[in-house]
Amino acid sequence: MMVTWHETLVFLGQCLPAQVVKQLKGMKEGQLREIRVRAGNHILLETGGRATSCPVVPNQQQVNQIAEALSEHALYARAEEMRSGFVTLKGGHRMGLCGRVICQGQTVRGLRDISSLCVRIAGQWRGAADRLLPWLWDEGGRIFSTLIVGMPGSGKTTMLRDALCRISEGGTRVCVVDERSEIAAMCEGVPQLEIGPNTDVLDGCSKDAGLRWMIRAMSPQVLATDELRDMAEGEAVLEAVQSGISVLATAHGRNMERTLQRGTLAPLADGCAFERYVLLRESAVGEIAAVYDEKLRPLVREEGS
Amino acid sequence: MRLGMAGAVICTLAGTAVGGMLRERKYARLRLLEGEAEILARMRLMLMEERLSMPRLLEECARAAPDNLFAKRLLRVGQLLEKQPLLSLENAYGEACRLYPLTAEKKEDRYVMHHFFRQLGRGTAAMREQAAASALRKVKPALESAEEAAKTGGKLSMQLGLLLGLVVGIALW
Repeated sequence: MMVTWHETLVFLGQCLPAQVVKQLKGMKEGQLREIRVRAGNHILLETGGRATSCPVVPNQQQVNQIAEALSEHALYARAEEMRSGFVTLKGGHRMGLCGRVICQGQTVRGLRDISSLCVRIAGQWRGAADRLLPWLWDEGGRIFSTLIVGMPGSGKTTMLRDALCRISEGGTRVCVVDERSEIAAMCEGVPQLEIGPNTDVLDGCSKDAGLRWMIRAMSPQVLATDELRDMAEGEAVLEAVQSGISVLATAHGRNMERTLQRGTLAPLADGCAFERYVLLRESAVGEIAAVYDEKLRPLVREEGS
Repeated sequence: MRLGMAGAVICTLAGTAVGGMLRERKYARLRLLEGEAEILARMRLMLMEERLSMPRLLEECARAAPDNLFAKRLLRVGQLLEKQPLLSLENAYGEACRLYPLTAEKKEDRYVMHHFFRQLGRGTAAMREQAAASALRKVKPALESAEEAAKTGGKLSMQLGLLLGLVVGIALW
């Protein structure tokens, strides 16, 4: 069942001060992109590059209360996620946090005295993968393992979700390892965002363990995950690809060559794990800048990229 | 004033009923504390193992003692947090106490749980688990003394009620 703008509004309405909710109610679906709350500053609502200031200045304690409320009083239970700097909220929205970091040596142990937060509103955009889909299938109908690369906020996850939904609707068995609950936004076992009728989701599991779990347990034809970061995840992707499963994944990056030189992705690029690389445009959400093959030869490069 | 035999029987029954009520009050506290201990023990485990949001955690813990009055208050705390997420856990518990007063709860029991809910809303899972363990340590001796009081005091109340009713009944026959 998909989360509607009305449901998002109800959820945010309970967690934010009344003046902010009043401004939110005047917005249309898809307009709101981010909410920024900083102690001692006005709350900002960002709508496609424009920021609207709300006449509310929360103090640190109130910022903490808002963070607790948005997480449904579960920040204590999301310590692992918080160590990465953000937690995924009900409905798939992402809340980034800042405050006093508790460290032990080089390891982040936790976060206290939350001083600012940024809520990125998740959106279901049917058709986000329209321009990607033609590049995903070979002549035999097999799906290419594909890595979608883009800057934060460029629409990687939205595009991946829509692609999965369409692949799943076509009858292919899709398995999603949704470590941060951003792809399917599972809530009590039910996806809050559309991911297709033939899709199984492993929610909250680390990507390396989850990918191996799915290979063993669910015999997927397509495996999908978000934001590849460390070597263990890269190894799990390689294992899946070597098992004959198509993998769809995303990674942060501005430039394809540089992104693939990173420690995590370099072995995958060297081993030709991915057969297609898709670079998203930085200036526009969900627009493809270039598509490359497994040897990084450009198949298409759109204007302005 | 003479009541006759029927009046004497009524006095005896009334005395027994009063004794029964006193006995019930002692048992009510015992049941309340039993429920609290059961819920706290479950909460300790769930805080570490399940990692649920606070309203769901309270709901799941309340299921450990579904007929207990404290469990019902716990459910009310969860509902309040769901409806008004900006409330702190401590304030939500205070509000639930106001909406759902428990007559069997003594001042010292109330203090232990208030203190526990103040700590439950803060810190890491391990810190919250420690708070539950500490509250459980405080509830257990109270539970033992309540058990003792219910057994001896309850029996005595019944006997005294019956005897008093009988004496008054005979006196007014």
